Amino acid sequence: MISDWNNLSLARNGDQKAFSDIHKKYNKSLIKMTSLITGSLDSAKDIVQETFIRLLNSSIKHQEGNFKSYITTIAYRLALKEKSRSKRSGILNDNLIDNSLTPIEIQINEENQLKLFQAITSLPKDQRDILVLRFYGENSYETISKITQLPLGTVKSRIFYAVKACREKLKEMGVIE
Amino acid sequence: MNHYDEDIILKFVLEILDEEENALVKKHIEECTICNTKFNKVKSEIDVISSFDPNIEDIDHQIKLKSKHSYVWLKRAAVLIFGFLTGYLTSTFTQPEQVNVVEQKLIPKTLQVSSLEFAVCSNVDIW
Repeated sequence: MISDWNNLSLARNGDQKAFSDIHKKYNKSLIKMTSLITGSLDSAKDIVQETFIRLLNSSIKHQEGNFKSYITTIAYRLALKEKSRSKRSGILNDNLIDNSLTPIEIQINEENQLKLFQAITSLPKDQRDILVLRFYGENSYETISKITQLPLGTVKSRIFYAVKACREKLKEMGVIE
Repeated sequence: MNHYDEDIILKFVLEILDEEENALVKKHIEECTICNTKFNKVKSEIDVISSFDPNIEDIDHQIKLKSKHSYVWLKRAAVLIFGFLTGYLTSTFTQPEQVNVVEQKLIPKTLQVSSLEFAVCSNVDIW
């Protein structure tokens, strides 16, 4: 079986199939992860597109590290950048004052999915990022520690409080008992 | 037998307990029905938390891969453009200063008669 690193080398030399394999494998999970950080599906799609472009253009000399962790780090950093950019320009708002629906809320048709989205995105940033990287990036705590440059103990503590807070919110919303 | 509270069960599910405590909780959950029920409840809640799955249309990846062939043409084009630019700039800055030459007819000195002299001469009645 061809590894992701090998596929990346082939894709860099113009192999469309190799690129397609990487894209299929990571596209959806990266979109889920980045949409929960930015709060926008459209931004998430753009970020993931940009992630793949950067992946193709980056100069990687080694091929030993964790590929998934590498691609997740690119997407995560781009998502944080986009989040702070949109906050500055006032496109998105964490605490919506009125009851109007944001574009992503219109795109999510299923009620429980919408509530889950609201519960996760309303978490404090520090907790939300760790939760998203763990459950949607499927990263180990050690990898999250590297990506976020936080001590392992802090990562473990934050995931605990993030899940606790999220459970409480979902209980209030009636999603779980 | 003491039961574990939900926080410890949650830490167990999240795999953030140290090895020793993890082994103790694991053994207890296997033996205790009450804690086993708590464990299944916490686990199902975490499954819900990780179940965000919006309808994402499979977007076409429009990223055009650069083949080695296209790089060769790109390099050739760059060399050509560089050559033209260098030639143009060199010719602009090394051109000699242009001298405008105005054609002048040399008139013999003897024929250079002022208009006043001509007027005086014309009034002389030579006859």
